[in-house]
Amino acid sequence: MSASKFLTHLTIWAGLWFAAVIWAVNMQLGQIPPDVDCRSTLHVSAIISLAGAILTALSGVASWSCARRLGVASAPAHTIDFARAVSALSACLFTFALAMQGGASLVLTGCER
Amino acid sequence: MNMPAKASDTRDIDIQGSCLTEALTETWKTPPGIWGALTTVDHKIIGRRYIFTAFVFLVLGGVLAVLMRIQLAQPEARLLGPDRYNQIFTMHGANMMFLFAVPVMEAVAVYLVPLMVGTRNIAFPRLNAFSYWIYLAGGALLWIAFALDMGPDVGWFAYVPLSGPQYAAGKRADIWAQMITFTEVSALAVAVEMVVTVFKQRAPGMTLDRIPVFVWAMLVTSFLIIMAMPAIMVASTSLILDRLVGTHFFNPAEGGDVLLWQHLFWFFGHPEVYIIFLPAAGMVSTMIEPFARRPAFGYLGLVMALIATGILAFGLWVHHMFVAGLPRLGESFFTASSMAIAIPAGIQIFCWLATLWDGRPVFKTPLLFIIGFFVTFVIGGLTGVMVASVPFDTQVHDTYFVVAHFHYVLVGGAVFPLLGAIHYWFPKLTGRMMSETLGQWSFWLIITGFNATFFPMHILGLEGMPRRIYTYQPDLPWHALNVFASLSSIVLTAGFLVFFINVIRSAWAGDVASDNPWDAATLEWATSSPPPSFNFAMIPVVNSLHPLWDCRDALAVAKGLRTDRRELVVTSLNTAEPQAREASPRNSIWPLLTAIATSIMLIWSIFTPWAVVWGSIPIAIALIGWFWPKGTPEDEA
Repeated sequence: MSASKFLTHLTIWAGLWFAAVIWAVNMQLGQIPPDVDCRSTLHVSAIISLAGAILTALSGVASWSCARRLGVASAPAHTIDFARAVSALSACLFTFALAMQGGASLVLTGCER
Repeated sequence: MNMPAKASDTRDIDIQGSCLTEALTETWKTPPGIWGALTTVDHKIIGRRYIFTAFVFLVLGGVLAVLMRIQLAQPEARLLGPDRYNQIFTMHGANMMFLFAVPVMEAVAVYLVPLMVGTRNIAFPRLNAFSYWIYLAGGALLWIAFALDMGPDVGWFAYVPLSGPQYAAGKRADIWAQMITFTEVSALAVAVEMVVTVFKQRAPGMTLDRIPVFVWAMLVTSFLIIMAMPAIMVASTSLILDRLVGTHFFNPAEGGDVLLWQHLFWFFGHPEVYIIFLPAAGMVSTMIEPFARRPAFGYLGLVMALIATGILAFGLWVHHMFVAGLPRLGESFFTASSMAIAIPAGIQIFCWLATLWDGRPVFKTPLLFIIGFFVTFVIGGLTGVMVASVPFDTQVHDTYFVVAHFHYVLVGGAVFPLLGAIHYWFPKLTGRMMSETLGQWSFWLIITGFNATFFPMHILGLEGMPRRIYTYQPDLPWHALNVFASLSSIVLTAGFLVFFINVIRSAWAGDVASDNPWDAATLEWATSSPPPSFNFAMIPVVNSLHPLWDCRDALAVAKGLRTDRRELVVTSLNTAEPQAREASPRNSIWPLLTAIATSIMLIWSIFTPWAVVWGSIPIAIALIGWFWPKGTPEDEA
């Protein structure tokens, strides 16, 4: 597989894999910054979560908009459409999960046990 | 679509009609008798065997449940003592999760997925045979130990330090831990086969957007198994090491960590719920089409929901640990994910409802079980959102509310669709129809009995009745609802009894089924009922998501496969374009011998660590025999 074709596939599926990676990383970070949140007035967890939500949403946009433009010669259009739609819709879901996590970070101080 | 032939080959394009069928039958057949039974690698025979064995374990687990209900029907009952009760609830949970729920879903997939993707056998068929034997050995280990009063008594989750060397003398906890190894090896083997079958053996033309939803569900489930089950194997192996050779993985006094067990267990344990639920969701999406008499609404949404659920499933495990003292902010992240996962579940429910709404429903037994699933699973899902909330969960943790919740999710979410699936695919497995009258009786008894048994448990939990207690005092306010639940369990049991009578009676004397009795759209109905050993005389070529609806007269086929050796088509991942002809292994006794050698080593290692050293030698010999060239045409590949 050529580099450009590989990049195309990555972009088509970005809303799925990239969004999932961002969400997974944020899940783990959720166990670390609470101490920082507790010590300062800055909501670090919320900032990270909301930044993640924006990145995730962008990955969905990338999947939705780039697939047609980049094109995959070997795949029929209906298959590409399916892939980018699955990918973009998944990104919406992960964006929602990250936004919920960001919202929770705003409500809590990080000091609660 | 033709594939090039060598001069010496015998190809399906060279012979016609009954001669082709005879040639393929000779190449793909399983010999009759005990030798054939022990050596077969036919996915249909192994799938049937798996399904039968899983239902035997369901019956055994059900008997234990009835015993628990009889015990709890009155305060201070003496039918079961505390020790036997501990064994029984542990056996019930471990049996239902590890020996019934996961294996039966994989078993159905072992039978159906190769047919649904239009291939002749599952990928790695000998590994498939091995997985069944090792599963059977694990189940036998657990139940024989129970019969000898050595059944595990540490709960299906085996929390340390309760299951550690300090508090669990004897071998009961080791039996639990090693049973895990057996069943997880088996599940992992099937998951790998499933991924490769779906990725590389789909019929030509079955692009990603033409894969049946059940096949998508099994693909996602297989990835869940591959990613989740190593966690529990690491945990159970570490537990055995703590108990047998004195390591301290879970001993805080020596630098170990008790919470590590909970993290490892639930990192597996929560995805396990979706490992059970997703195949059921796939079954519903597939079954609903012929009974609604229209394509499932929102194929894209259904597939997205399966994939997203599979990923989100790995971000929920801490909601089982809300009372373990973790930081609240961290817990809130898991609450957020637990609530977010309700969205793909909701998408699926609304897609199914829209399918029925816009269709012309035929209320046969499979559809009744699907509707029962909607109601029951939604109730379980709603209580799931409730227990995802930390304050509420803290109140009801370890009470009967949680027992009610997970039975609604697991029985409503998986067993109801499974029972519908048995009614639906029974004609394909046996060539006979199940009785509709008995099917409807079993449905109404099961749904009534189930709700009457488990709904009161919500109230019992809110009244403070803890889980896992073997009895309670008469002055506590739990007696009336427990009597009601126990009496209702008789109705539930009667429903299952009618179901099993229907299965046995129909297998012998049911109406003969046509190849496609439900007028369904997926490829398993394109072959005879039951299918021949080679599944399809010609590999079908797929041009749509509903090949049997869109090409009613005749499916296009791929030609050029050899008939003198077991051969199937390998296709590309995205677009399912033919890439190669690949040999499929013949029958072999080596998977059974390898499973026996592995079982001896695993059971022996409960007693001495040296078993791992000496027990590995027969396994190595068996594996050499397994892979040694057999001088058959299949060796050429």
